[in-house]
Amino acid sequence: MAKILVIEDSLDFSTFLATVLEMEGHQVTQTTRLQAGIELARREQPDLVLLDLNLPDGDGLEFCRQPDVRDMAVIAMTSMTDDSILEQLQTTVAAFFIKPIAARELHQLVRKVLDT
Amino acid sequence: MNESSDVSPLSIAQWLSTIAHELRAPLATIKGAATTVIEYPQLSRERVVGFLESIDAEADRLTDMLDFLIDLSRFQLGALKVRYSFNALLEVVEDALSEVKLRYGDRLVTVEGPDIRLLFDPRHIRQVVTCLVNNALARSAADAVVHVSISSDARRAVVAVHDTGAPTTLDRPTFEQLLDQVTRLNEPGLRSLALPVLRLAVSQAFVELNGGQLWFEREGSGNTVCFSLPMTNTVSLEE
Repeated sequence: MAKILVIEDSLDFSTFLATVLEMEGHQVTQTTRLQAGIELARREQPDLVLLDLNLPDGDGLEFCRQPDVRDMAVIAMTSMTDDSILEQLQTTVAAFFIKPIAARELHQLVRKVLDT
Repeated sequence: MNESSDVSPLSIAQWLSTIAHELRAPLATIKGAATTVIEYPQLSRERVVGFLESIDAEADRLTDMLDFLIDLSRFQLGALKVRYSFNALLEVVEDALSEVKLRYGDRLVTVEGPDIRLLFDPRHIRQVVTCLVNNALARSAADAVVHVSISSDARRAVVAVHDTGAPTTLDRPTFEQLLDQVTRLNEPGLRSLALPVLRLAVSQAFVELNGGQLWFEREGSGNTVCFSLPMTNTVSLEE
């Protein structure tokens, strides 16, 4: 079982993520804001962070620039398909996916990142 | 304003990119909810119903967004029609708020104002209120109250939507300025502003079609977005 932090501003999408992760036996904490996510990550030291890139209070990738949390394993979640953004993600985070994603793909990706 | 204008291929490409991004959000929830129900048959009935409700709500949202796009294109082509009728403004505002509450659940939105009836297209004004309140809720902290007030004088009725979010630099944006702003929102971190600006553009277009104006007021903290409707041809509810 891993401790996973979900930073996602869509409550419905966050509920989907949390349900899949909990059904796979993980312990999940959720927040809809970037700043709250950074604080939760500092406090709870999760094994993995699921990070939306478009958050109401800033660019999700700002999370990866915070000195005390930037080494955490992060799966970025985005709706953007621009090459420049995807290239940036390849060098910044452990993995990423473009929304939408199916439940099975999600838990397979999470397992893969946790296993590495 | 609503005549066809010179739009560069780059602007159209940026527009399409922004819109495609916005359409992915409801699709993400629909796909996620449906595959979760399929993948985990042991989920409780309550949770399954919750996911089905999400699918239903997001399908409605997708439909709304497509209607937005159709309306915007009609507006730009000068083909958007106003279907005037006498309506109680407060009733239309409350109707819009009940729709917003379906999405934001327990977020607090208050409304006050006199019962006045005037001529406008209720579909347009319901959409404007929905857009402005959605923007206000998205800008504000989760526990903040969004307040909608209605006032009137001899010339016009004014609906003001106040939130406590970070103050905007906008003042009295034109439809063209708002559309132009959407095309500049392709950077990470800024793209979350695309839908709010689109909502403002739609609101601006609808308010103007109904003979009113839209503007920002920056007194005190937060933002107040106001729109007016002309009081010509009004009748009192007491009559």
